[in-house]
Order: sequence, then C-alpha cells, then structure tokens
Amino acid sequence: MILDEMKRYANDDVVDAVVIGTGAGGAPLLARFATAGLRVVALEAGRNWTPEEYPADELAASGIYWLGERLSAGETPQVFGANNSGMGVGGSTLHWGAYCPRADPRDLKLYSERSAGHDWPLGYADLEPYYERVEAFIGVSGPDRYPWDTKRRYPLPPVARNAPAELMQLACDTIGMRATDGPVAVASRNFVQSEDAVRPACVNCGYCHQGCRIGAKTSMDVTYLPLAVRYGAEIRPESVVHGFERDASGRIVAVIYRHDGIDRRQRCEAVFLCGGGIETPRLLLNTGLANSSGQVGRNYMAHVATQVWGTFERETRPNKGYPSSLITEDAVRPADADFAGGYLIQSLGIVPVTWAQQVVRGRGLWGRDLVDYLERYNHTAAVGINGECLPSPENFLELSDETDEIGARKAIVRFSAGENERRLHDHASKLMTDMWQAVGATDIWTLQRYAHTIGTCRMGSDREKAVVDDSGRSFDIENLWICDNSIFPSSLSANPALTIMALSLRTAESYLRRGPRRSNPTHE
Amino acid sequence: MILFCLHYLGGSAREWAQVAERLGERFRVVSLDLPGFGDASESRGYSVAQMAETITSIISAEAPDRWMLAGHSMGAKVAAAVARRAEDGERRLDGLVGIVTIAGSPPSPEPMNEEDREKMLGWFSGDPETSRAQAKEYVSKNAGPDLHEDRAEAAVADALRMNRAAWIAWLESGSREDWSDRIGVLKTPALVIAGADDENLGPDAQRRLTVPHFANARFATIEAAKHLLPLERPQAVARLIAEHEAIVGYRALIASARVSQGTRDALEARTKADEPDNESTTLGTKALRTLRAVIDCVIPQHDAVTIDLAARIDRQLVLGTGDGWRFADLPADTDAYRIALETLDAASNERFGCDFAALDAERRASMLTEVYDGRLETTIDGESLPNRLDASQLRAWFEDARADAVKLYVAHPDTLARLGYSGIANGGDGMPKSGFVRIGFGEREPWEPIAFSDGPR
Repeated sequence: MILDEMKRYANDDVVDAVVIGTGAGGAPLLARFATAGLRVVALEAGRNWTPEEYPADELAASGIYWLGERLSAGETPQVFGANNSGMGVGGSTLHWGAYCPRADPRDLKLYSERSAGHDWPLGYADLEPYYERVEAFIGVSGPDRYPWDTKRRYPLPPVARNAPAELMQLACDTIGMRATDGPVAVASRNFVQSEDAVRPACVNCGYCHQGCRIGAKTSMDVTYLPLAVRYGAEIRPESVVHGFERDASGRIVAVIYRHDGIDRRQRCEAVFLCGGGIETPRLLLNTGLANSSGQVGRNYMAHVATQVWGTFERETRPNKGYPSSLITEDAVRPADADFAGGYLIQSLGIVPVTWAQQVVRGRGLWGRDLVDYLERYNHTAAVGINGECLPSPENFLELSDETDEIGARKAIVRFSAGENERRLHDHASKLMTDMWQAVGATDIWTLQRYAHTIGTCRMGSDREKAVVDDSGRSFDIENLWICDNSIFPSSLSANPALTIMALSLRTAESYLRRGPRRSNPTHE
Repeated sequence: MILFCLHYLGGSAREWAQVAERLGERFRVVSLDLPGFGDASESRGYSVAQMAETITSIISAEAPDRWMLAGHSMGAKVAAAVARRAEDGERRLDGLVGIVTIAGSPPSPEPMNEEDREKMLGWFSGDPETSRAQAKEYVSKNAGPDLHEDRAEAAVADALRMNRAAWIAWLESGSREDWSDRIGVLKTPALVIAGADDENLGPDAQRRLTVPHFANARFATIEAAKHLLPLERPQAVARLIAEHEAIVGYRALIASARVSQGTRDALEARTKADEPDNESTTLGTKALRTLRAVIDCVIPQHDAVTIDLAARIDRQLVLGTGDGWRFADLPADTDAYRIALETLDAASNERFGCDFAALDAERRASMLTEVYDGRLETTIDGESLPNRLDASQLRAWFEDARADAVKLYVAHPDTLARLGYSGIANGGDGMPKSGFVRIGFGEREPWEPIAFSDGPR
C-alpha cells in the first residue's frame, strides 16, 4: 500500500497508542483511533507490499507467510508456514481465504449448552452491530437471503460459483441439505472503498491465498489501513517488537522493536497487541508480561478442518474461481451429533502445490500412486469444514530453548486432537463422503487437518482464569490491550477473521469511551 | 501443429507411419525422404548442408505457422542444421517451436566403430541375395529382437531401395562432418531421446554429444530398445513427442501476456535444467546420493522429466529458508536430513551390507515402507544410537522429505504442463486482469492447457 505520504512520529514522541500487528486485529482499531484523532503508530514485522507484486505462484508467494520457525508437537502437530499466520502490512489478511461467516450465537455459549468448552464473556448481541459495520466497510459478498439468519443482509451480491461450488450445491440438493453462496469478503462487483479508491470486482483468478493482485479481496492494506493512514496513523513495516519498557507502576511506557538491525524504542500511552494466536503469547512469554493468571499460551485451539476430496469424470479445474464460494450451516448443530458444537461446510478449490502437499501429508501417497493421482488434479474437488475445537489443558504454547535471529525464544505449540474433535471429524467425514458419493465422485478420501491458531490469551471476566477482560484489556497491565484470535475463549465454528475485526472495533470503541489518556504532543 | 520428420540412414519417410498414426489429431505429420532415400532416391545433395537446404525448401513450401522438427539418427544432424538456420533468422523457417532428436547423430562427428564403417561401405554392391542379407543384418543389428516383422521387412526394403551413393556419402563424409561449432547452442526447446540399449548413440553419447547443443533440453531414455526407435517403440516415441509439444506450448503460455512478469520469472528460474552431476552444497555427496535414491522412490519421474529433486532440496537447505515450522521431535531441517539419511544408510548396511542407494528398487521400497509406517527400528536394546533417528522421528522426517519433494516437483513448469494447469495464466501485468470466465463444472477456456492424462495420446 502507499505509505509515502503518511504522517510520521519520532521515537521520542509519546504517541497515544502503539499497535503491534496490522492484521484483522490491529488494522480496524488503528483506523478507528486515527479517525478519532488519536496519534497512533503501528509496528508490523513484515514488509509493505503492492498488490501487483504478488505472483500467481505458490512458492514465490512465500513472502506473505510467517516463516519464523515454530516447533510443532503433540499427537496432531500443526502445519504452519503457508497455513495460518501471515506477515506484511495487512498481516494474515494478505493470504486469508476471506471467508466471512459470523459466529453462531450458540457457539458463544457452548459451556452453558453442553457443559463443554468455554462461554464467551459477551453475547451475539454485543457482536452483531460490529459485524454489520465491518461487513459494510470491507464489502462482504453474500446471498440475498441467508437461510440460517434471514434478517441478515450483505452489501454485495454473491461471487461467482466455481466447479466445486456447483458440485456441492448439487450434492446438498440431492441429499436434502440447504446450501447457499458463502459470505465472502471479496468484491463481486466494483466496490467503492473510499472517495478515491474503487476495489475492482473479482476476476476468478483463484490465487486468494497468495495475495490478491487487484484488491478485490479484502485485506487490511486495501481497507482499514489506508483509512488509518489518511487520518494520520503511521505504519512502520519490518519492525519486529521484542520488548517493553515499563514504569514503576507497571504501565508500559515504550515498545522496543528492531528495524534494520537496530533496536528502537517508541514511547506511548497505550499498547494494543495484535500479533495473532502464536506471536502474541510468544511475545508475552518472552517478556514475562501480563501472565499473573498463568493463562498465557494456554488452551491453544485449532479448528477441525477436515476435507473430503473426490475425482470427477468431467473437469473441475479447482484453481479457478473464488475457492470456497458455497456454504451450508446445516451442521452447526447436527441432530445426530455425539459431540459438542458443530461445523460449517464449504466447497473447496485449491492451487496445486498446496493440494499436492496435502496429498502427501494427509493421504500418505508416494511412488507411482502419488504421481498418477497428481495427474488427476484437473478433475478433483473438495468439500471441507471449519469445526469446533474444545480448549484443553494439554494443548498449549510454550517457549523452546532455541532462539530466533533476534534472540527471542521460539514457540513450541503442543496440539493433540481430543475426543470431541475426533468425533466431529468422523461425523463430518461421513457426511461429506455421502455428499460426494451422491454426485458421482470416485476415489473419495478424507483429509484430517486442523486450521487457525486460536486461544492462548483467553478473555474472560475472572482475572484468575483469563488474560484479558471482555474489552480485550489486560488484567495485569492497565494500558495493554490484546486483540486477535488469541483472546477467543472458545474456537467457534466460524472462521475467525470477521469476529476478530468485530472485536477490534469493539475494543476501540470501549477504549475511546473510556476517555483515553492523551499525551501532549512534543512535536507536531 | 505440423511435425516434420527426418529418417535414419537407409530409412525413409515411411518409418514414421506408426508414430504418425498415434499422434492423432494433435499434429499433421509430414514425413520427408532425404536425398537419396525412399521416394527421393534419385535426388542428389548428400552433404549435411545440402540436405538441410532441401528440407528448408520443403518446409517453406508448406509455410507452416507453428511447426516442430523431429530427426532420427542421421535425420537429427540435419534437423539441428535446419534449426540453426531458423534461429539465425531465416524467414523461410519462421515458426519453429520445438525439436526432437531420436537416437540422433550429433553435430560432431558421429561415434562409429571404424571396422563397422569399413564393412558397411562394402555393402549393397553385390547380388540381390547378398544385399538383402546385408540389409537384414543392418536392421537386426540396430533394432531389438522384438521388432515387429512387417516393420522389419519394410526397413529392409527401404535399405534396398536407397541410392547407394547416399549411403556411401553419409558413411564416408556426412557422419564425419563436424558441425559442433556451427550449431553451437540452440535455444529451441529440445527433447533428446535415446534408446537404452543403443550401442553407439545410446544415453551416454546423447548426454555427452547432443544435449550440450541445446540450452533447453529435456532428456528421455526408452528402455529395452536400441537404435530404430520409431519402428521399435512408436507408441513411446509418439507419446514423448506429444508431451514435448505440450511442454513447448506451456513454455509459450509462460511467455505470453496472460502471465505476469513475477510469475514468469519464478517459473523460468525453475525451468533451467539441473546439471547431471549436481554437487551437494549442504548434505555432502554421499547423503545426496542417498537422498536421490529416496526421492526416486517417492516421485518416480516420467522418462522425459528429469528434475533433480534431491539436489533442489539440498539447495533449499543451504539457503536456510525454512517453511515456518518443523516437527518438535526433529532437529533443525538440515540436521534432520543429514541424520535421517545416515540412519537409512546404516540400517541398509546392517541388513544388506550396502548403502541405501545401492539397493534394488524392491528393497528400497520395502525399507521406505517401514520408514513410512514408523517401524524402521534403529535402536539396540531400546537405546537410541547416537547420530540416528528413531522410528517415529524417521517417519516424521520422511513426511517432510516427501512434502519438500512434491512441492518442488509440482512447482516445476514441466509438471504443471503435465497437469494441464492453467492458474499461472490468470492475468498478466497491468489492469484489467483477464482472470477466468468459464469456471463452472466441465467448463474450460479455449486457451487452457490440457492434462497429459486427458489428451489424445
């Protein structure tokens, strides 16, 4: 994005807020603060990009993924890299799938419903107005009528359906499930983002996960961040935060970050930590902050993200089109469930390297079987889920003795799918296998996988059991807020980013209502 | 696409009949008689330059938009000479997009046993019976024992109807002409095919003498075949030619305006052929040899795809550009590779008395199956040995190695061509981007490449 003309602050300026991370957690609140007149600086570990730079190539796109090494442990070790965390001005939204379901109200109160999981300290009514604001601002495309929430309206008509979506619609029709166009943060027609920026309609190029080259897909660098910059926010790319300075009372007075190999110190009145489900707890553990509850790094969750693949006689060409243009929420509470929670089903297209690596890791093919199956790429399609993952004391993030290039200890992420996840996976696998059989797929196989990084800095009402309160404010440090998927008390069955953005605006409003402590500008 | 075909010494245009039949609708095959052979037995001009001129005239008379050139044995040397003229800008030869040499006589003097040469120079000068026996000997010496009887008979008939002067001219001078400087290095995408059992112009000679003349060479060996490949293995030859056409087409797609410069740069960097004997930069020679043996089992490559995946993994390791995570049970990536490969060699030595790379295919597969299943035990009395991975670590490493290999394999443009992958061409530079319009089930844009497994082959 264009940063040439932005306002700049000196390290000695006591800015009103430093925001760490420019993804779905950091960008909306940065923009809200800037429009409210606060003097704000965002520190982003990754570089700044212009959309035209993204290649239609999975290997060459690796610059937008978080490639700092993480150690994966547990019975179902997590794949990171191109999956999960991102880097660059815009954070993970540079590579996210832009799938935008809202949380199901029941998912926020899973413990009350099933004595499983964890209730959120807020309800759907608290989120709904923020969902609406976010959807309107970023331009979410969706159906006229959303069958599972008929009063919901999306600002843009649906994106085009590709082959996997057509097949999933047919499968749902055949076995008697409802399905509709997915809520998708991709402009289905030209979308006026601001008076001087129109985001063009999606051209079905299929490379959402490698960075949208035209800005049709919502990412923070084409939505909230330009707004923030227009209102005086400064964004500093390639600035890796690794420490904090505090005063005698414990308040943070400066953020330490490395830029161009040199440590710098940005003075500030408040800090909003928005590094995501891994980097946020890692930074807190590395600096020893905000952890009187002992909950930092705890309850790591990853959505059950089972996929069922099939081969079709006619070509599917699964690289084409927005990858997951169809949704059904019929399995959010399946009648025959032997598990807590539920899942969303979406149609799935995919690009070939990602697909081939899934085939290797998830299907276990090698040798002639592998090479022959790869040649069927143009005939494959999948349906996949995003399903509830219960928090567990056995799943957590801790620090390794190994350090990264700036001396911060690496994260070890321990994750073992539990009984509830296994049952949910089995249920989904069976249902989706039935769907694909209903439309004549052959060579059907199930990929067991997990996605998203959730939990690790739980929000709650009890400071003994949670890291932040329901506004995202640290119980321990009065001028520290956290906003990203780390604060989710439960995973929800919805993909996290829309809810992160809604929480970001909610945190911002809460902070502004409180009457932020403002510094007297030392130089303007 | 027109494919012009040039035959071997003593052959004729009709040696391509079976290949042409199998190339179906993809090509119009135009098989030519070189001067002195087949129906052109009365034509003169037997030097390489004269033959190249004759062929140039015939091609330009056809005035093809896009064409490929295939040369078998003697025909390959002529084909290279024609390609040189095309690359030098001869307008009559515009539109050459690919070249295929089959058991080709190289641009340099052809390696030939001098006794054989002397003997053959004396052939076809006696009575018909003797000539026939000599023709039979010529064909049987150059083809495997399973050559179809009718084709063998046709080849004998071709040898008997050639102009003996052309035969003598090639043996005495054409085969000895040194065109290596004149041909230099051709840019036209080439497929170099060798018969595994060819005595003088087999795989080694082709790699040594032909491949260096092509900047973009792909190499294929046809197993259990000798020198008369279009007659011995017409199906394999046809398939390789069709695949080469698809790969040439894919490279043209990469060069087209549908592909962005950034994408093109990434793909072209990957297209560069691997040196046949890539030295290890990270793992060391021995470990790289073991890794090649492992990866050969994981991704058995098609005869004409020879991407040195192991060397590419090795280079990736030296860069230290990890993929953002690793199994906590494994040491850092490079160490994991090194120790895993040492473990594999140690286990192979314990069982079979040799390194893993020295095992036959069956034993390699069986050991890797144990690795895959997590039951290749490398402990003694339950104690891990130093510098060994245990069974579960090996299993985890093998998953990583397979994922690395398949990533590099699929990302290679020749593999993407094989898959019929269109995603690279989702819109070039500048606005608006073309993207895709026909995205529904069973829909295809007219320009989209087609998977080899879907094509008429």
